[in-house]
Amino acid sequence: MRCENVRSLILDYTTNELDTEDRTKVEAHIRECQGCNHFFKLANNEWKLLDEWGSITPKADFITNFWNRVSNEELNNEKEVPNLFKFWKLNWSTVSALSIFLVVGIISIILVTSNQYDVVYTEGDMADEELLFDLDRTISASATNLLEVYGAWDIDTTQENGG
Amino acid sequence: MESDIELMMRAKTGDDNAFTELMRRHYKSVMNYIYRFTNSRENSEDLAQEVFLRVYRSVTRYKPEAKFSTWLYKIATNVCLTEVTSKSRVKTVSLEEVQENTGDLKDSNSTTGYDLIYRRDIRDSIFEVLKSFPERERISIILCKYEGLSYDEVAEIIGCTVGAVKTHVHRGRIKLIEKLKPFLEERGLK
Repeated sequence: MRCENVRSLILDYTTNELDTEDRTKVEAHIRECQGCNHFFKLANNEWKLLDEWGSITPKADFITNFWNRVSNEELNNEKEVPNLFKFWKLNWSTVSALSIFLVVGIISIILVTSNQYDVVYTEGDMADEELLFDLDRTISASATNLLEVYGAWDIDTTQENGG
Repeated sequence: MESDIELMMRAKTGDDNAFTELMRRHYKSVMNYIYRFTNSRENSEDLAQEVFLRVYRSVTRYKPEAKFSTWLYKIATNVCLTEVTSKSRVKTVSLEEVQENTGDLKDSNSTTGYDLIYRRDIRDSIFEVLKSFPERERISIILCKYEGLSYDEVAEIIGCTVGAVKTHVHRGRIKLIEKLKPFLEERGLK
């Protein structure tokens, strides 16, 4: 048997995991092989040495402390919910103000844009407006009255009549 | 006596007494399992409570497919790994703390200062060697040696084959032999 294979068996030997046949093989090998014999002693000591790190005993109030912790967590969870609402309440004022601004803004935009859509302002209108301003500037009130006898008139006719 | 699964099913319906009974059965092993990862009694107690808190919170989702203890050790392993990766604690320890932390002494006559320090050295050395192992080797050694679990159970907890667990244990033990040689030779090679 090769030493490499025996070493794995030696580890199992020290933890009583081998059947009788393998145990006999290991025992026979370590009687003859000094290296494996040394390894066997180390492995045996190592497994026992680990026991030197003893276990600990929990405090008697472990379970009581656990239930206290559960109660505290539940209390904290209950507190967290109103806090959340409080936070929301604070935000509500901001949200309300923003909403009012938003609504007023939207209404203003609608009003402004709807007025713009009602006015159909063409280049012809602009020219007419200019003529009206000219008339205002050049024609006196009495002259306007005199001109009314001609009924509807346009600028060209007026100019011809006047000329 | 009711089985763990029966108790867990009762706990699922909101029976806190059943959960208390489950805790009574397992808290020592869970705490000691964590202790091998942290080497601190105080932390172990806190973390053991954290483990049971997680179990308690997820009790409604429990399905009795696996052994309760396997499920419990899985949760404990997650808690331990989170702890060891998030915190590396360096602490100086007084003699009183050594006594407090060394664990139960098998031989109550050997509580002299020298024995305590010797035991602390052994404990710290084992802890440091195990700490240097890859996760699965460390978990396998701790569960097999200190919690007395079978390779099958460990395989289920860490999610690998039984053969792989055996390999982890063997590799770990060879490293332990190598690194703890001074202690092993001091004890005499009988």
